[in-house]
Order: sequence, then structure tokens, then C-alpha cells
Amino acid sequence: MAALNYAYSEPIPSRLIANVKTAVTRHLETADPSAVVHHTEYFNNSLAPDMILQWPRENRERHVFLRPTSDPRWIQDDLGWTAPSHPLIVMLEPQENDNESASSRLLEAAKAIDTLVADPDGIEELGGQEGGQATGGLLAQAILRGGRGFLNYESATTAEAITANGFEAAQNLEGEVTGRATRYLTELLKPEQSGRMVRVLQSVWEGHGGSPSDFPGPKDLSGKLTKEDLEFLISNLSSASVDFWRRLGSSITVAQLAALDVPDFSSNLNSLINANVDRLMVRAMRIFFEAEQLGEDADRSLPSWSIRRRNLSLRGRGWTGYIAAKSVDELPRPERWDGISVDNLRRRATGNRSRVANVELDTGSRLIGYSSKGDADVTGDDELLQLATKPNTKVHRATVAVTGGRRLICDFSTLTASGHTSATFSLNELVGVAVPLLVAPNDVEMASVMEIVASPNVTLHGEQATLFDE
Amino acid sequence: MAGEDHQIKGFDGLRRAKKWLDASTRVKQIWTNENRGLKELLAFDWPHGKDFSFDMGGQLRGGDLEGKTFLAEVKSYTHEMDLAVHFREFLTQCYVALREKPDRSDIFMWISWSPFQAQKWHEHATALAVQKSVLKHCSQIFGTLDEAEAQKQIDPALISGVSQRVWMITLCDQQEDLVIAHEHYVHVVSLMLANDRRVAN
Repeated sequence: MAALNYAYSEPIPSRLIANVKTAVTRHLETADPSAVVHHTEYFNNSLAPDMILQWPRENRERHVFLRPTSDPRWIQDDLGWTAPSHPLIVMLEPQENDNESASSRLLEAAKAIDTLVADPDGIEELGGQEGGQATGGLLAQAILRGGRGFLNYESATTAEAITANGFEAAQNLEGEVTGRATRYLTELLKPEQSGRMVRVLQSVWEGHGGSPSDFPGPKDLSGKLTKEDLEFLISNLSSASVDFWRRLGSSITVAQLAALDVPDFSSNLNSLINANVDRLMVRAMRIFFEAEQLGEDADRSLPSWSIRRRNLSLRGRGWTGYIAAKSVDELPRPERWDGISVDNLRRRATGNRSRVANVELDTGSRLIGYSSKGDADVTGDDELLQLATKPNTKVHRATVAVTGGRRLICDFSTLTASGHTSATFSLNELVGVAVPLLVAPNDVEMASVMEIVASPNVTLHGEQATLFDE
Repeated sequence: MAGEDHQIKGFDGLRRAKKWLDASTRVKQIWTNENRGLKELLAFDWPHGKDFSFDMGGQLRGGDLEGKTFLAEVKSYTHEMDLAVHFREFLTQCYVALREKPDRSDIFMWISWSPFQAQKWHEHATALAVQKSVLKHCSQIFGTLDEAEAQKQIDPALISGVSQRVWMITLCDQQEDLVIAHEHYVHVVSLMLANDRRVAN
């Protein structure tokens, strides 16, 4: 690590230490861009870590101890203290080979307490993935989160090769090489991280047509898929079935999807969402009329799902519906609209067969509320039409009754559909009501929207259904 | 071989002394003369001689010790042997260190496993003792064997400064274990990191 030599040239101790930490941080952050490295005030203390690796989205952290030595005896001394935190110990010198027995004792001791001891070349190699090596990136992230044993240049390159071969073999449904990778990962990583990696490997296996029962690895896996795992699968799978995406979706949230970094159009993202549209729970949707870009629909059929402005969004012809996973505040700021006429609301509601139980009219100077006593639709009521005879009277809001006694309020002044307080809706419930009322697409587009919100056609049974369940 | 034995013992003593200091929870940063790239921070030149090095250095934390720098000499002798001779040299090295790098010299620790000349223990680090030690090594510091000439060059503030900064620590094997228990590690570290957490959040 050339940066370390530069760091050591600094004569002032505090700056020297800051430089050393920065040099190691660069490699750690390159190896896992989702990690945040926090520097503590400590250096080389047996008890307190020098740095803390944090993964804010996963509420996870790992202590990092820097050791300005390659002598295994120093490292071994500290293991007794640090064992409970299962840390990453980074030796700041490459390991010398003149003390093999001490090194092998250290490897075994570290592995036994789920601690990873790495030398600078091993850390550098982890972060040294030059573009395209997606499996290397996944592996590096798993090693930082839960690697154990000893990592130097040789063991890092071996791990990368076995993992890359395993993923390639899984695509080609080659059991032996895939199995070797699952066994290796199980040894190299703590159970949570090996479980996660093997699940991704298994997803690739199934995503390329392999049978779950033939997968050469443990079946009772735990470990939530991370953002990177999902991005990997969405970017790399081909010919996965609806059933596969349905299983994958059982433990995924819309908040996770919104954080994904995937291309503007991804057929796999669309497959994943369409296969889970009836169980992805959301809070709100806001419509924006955004002009179609030239050639936008060349490679996809609209409407389609994408990730825009950090929201899951449904892109239609000239409009985009942004979806809020947890709070309306996640949505882009609304534009202001005048509302629609009662006639227009009636047409939209009839076409969609929505039961509008309450309408709020804006006369310009007054707001008038009109409600049914139960959940009956009021849009056909003559009284409602009479209330709206004054010119410029617009529908400000319409409240639609959905199953379970919940109400979905469509606000025409902000083109936002949301429920009361903490009400949540399945994605297809929300889209099925909000798009027809707030956007009013033409018949052809409406048919496509209805196709999207129809419950997915899946055939899940027994073992397969539980595979991705938490 | 005796030399080899001595070296192993020295290494062992350094490790044990560092471990004990760390377990005090009052060490912020620490390095030893075994650490490539950092041992230079412990090295000094005799003004009229070769170089010398302390065994450990760093910075303490918490309370009155917050930010105090230290240099330490570790003698892993279990018997008195020639500790008195080494201690006198240590005092002289402290004089040079305080003169050259006062920012690294808030505390000078002498750590051993045996006392020496115990009846005069309270006199070992007085200003007079420091002065006598410095005069004994006057050729390395002042380039003269003439004590009267050396006397003229001695800086009394440095003599007094060294005397006030010396900590004489005599460990025993049992004392090394008389520190926080491993089962309390998680709690102690979370306390040690409390300040960092405040900064991070």
C-alpha cells in the first residue's frame, strides 16, 4: 500500500495517524461503497477500535483495529479482548512468511471467534476490482461485513476466483463448481454473510432455470438480501420466471427498491415489481405530467416501473407516478392544480368502477363536503351535480373506499393519493385507484395499467414458497 | 544464547507493558519501537553521539490526562540487576527528549518488574538525581567531559521539567491481570467510544 509509506513520512504523530487511517479508509470504501468509515480518537489501542465501519441502511457496524505490525504474536494478544466485537483487524505491514506456525495459529484463532485479520495487500485487493467484476464487489462487501480468518493478497485472489467461477457455474447450472463456491463461502464468512452470498448464488441458479432442489448448497439460509445483492440480481439475471421474482419479492420492501441504483429501464426490475404488486406495501403516490423524451418508449412498453428521484415510479405516456414507501414527505414537492369538474370525476370513476364515498368541492370561495353514509359511490348523485352548478366549481378531493374500511384520498390540487395517518396500501390497490382518477389515461393505456395491477399469475407451492421468506 | 534470551524477554515485556497500559482505558494512541513507520517517532539523537530510542510512546486520554503525550522505557527485568544504571541513562534521555520534542514529552514512563535501590526510591527522580544523571552523560549531551563546563550548559528548567514528568511504574505478574475483565469489554469500549459516537452522530 504505497499510501501507507506516504503516511509514514509525516513527522507529526497526529497527522501521521490521520494519514494512515485515511489510506486504509480509501481501500475499505472502494471495496464497499455503501460503507461509511468513522475514525475514532484511538490508534493501536488493544481495546478501542481505530475506526468503525458502518452500514447505515442496515443498522450494522464492524470495529476496525489497525495494527502497525505483521507479527502474529501482537495480534494474537489482542484477540482475547476484541473477540466479542468480531472485528476486522488490519495489519499495516504485509505478513512475513518466516513464522508460519504462529501465522497458522492466528488464522485458526481468528476464524474461531469470527474475526478477520487482513494485511494491507489483502485489503487493497478487495478494493481493486476493476469494473465489470460484479461478483468481486459482492464478495468484498460480504468479507468486510462478516469475513473471518486471514486475508492477504493470495487468499483474497483465491476467494475472488472461486466466487466468480461459482457464479458462472450457477448460470450454467454446473453443480460441482457451484457447490465448491458455496462450501468455500460458508467457511470464509460468518453465517449471516455466507447465507446472503449463497442465497444470491442460488437466485442466479434458479434465475437461469435451475431447480431449487438441485442447488448444491445449504437450503435453510438466513440473511436479508442487501441493496447490492438486489442490484446484482436485477442487473445480471436473464430468463427468470414470475415464480422466481415472486419468491425473491417476499422479503423486499419498496423502501429498498427506491434506493436501488439500476438503469432507467430494467425488465428485471419490472418483473420483480409486477410479480409482487399485490404485496409491496406503500403509503402514497403523486402524479407529475412530465413530457415524454424522444425515443423514450423505444426499448420498453409504457407504463413501466423505474427508480426516479429516489422513488419507485410508474412511468406512463407523458406522466410519472412517484410512489412513497413510508411517508408522503419522500415524494417530490407537488405542483399546484385547479382540480377537475364533477363531470370529469364521474367519467373517471365510472370507467374505473371506483367507489367515491366523499367529494370535496372548491367553489372558489368555499369548500363543500359531500359524503355517502356508508361506502356507496356518490359520483352519480344528482345532488352532487347541483352543488357544482356554480361556474369554476372544481373537485378538490375525492375519497375512495377500498377494502378493509380504508380510505384513499385523491387530492386533485396536488395530484396526490394517500390514506389517513398511517394507512398503507398494496401497490396495485394504490395504482388501480390513483392512476385512473388522477391521470385519466386513454383506453389503451388504461388497459395496460389494469394489466399491471392485476394480481400476478404465480404458481407457488411448498418448499419454493418458503425459500426467500425471512 | 543469552543475547537471544534477553531479546525475547524484552519483546515479551514490551507486549505486556502495552497491554497493561491499554487495559487502563486511558491510552488514546500508542506505538512501539517494533512498529515500522512509527518507531521513528521514538527515536532521538544524542547531541554528541549516536541515536537512541524509547520503547513506547503515544498519548493518554480522559480527565487530567486528556491529550498528554508520553514516552516510555520498558525494562522487563525481574531482578534489580543493573536497572539503576539504565534508569540514570533514561533520565538523561528524557532530558534530551524534552529539549528536542517537548510536544511528545508530557510524561516519561519507566516501566519495570523490579524496583532498584528501594531505600532511595523516593529520590530516584528528584531534580538532583536528574542533574547528576545528565552530568554523568555530559559528553553525549554537551560534547565535553568537563563537568564544570557541562554544568554551565545545563538548563535548570529542563532538569526540573524531567523531574516532574517521570512516572516510575513497577509491575508484577498479578497486577497485569488486575484490569477490566474480558466479560466487561463490550461495556468498557462503548464508554471509551462515547465521545466518538457524539462526534459521529
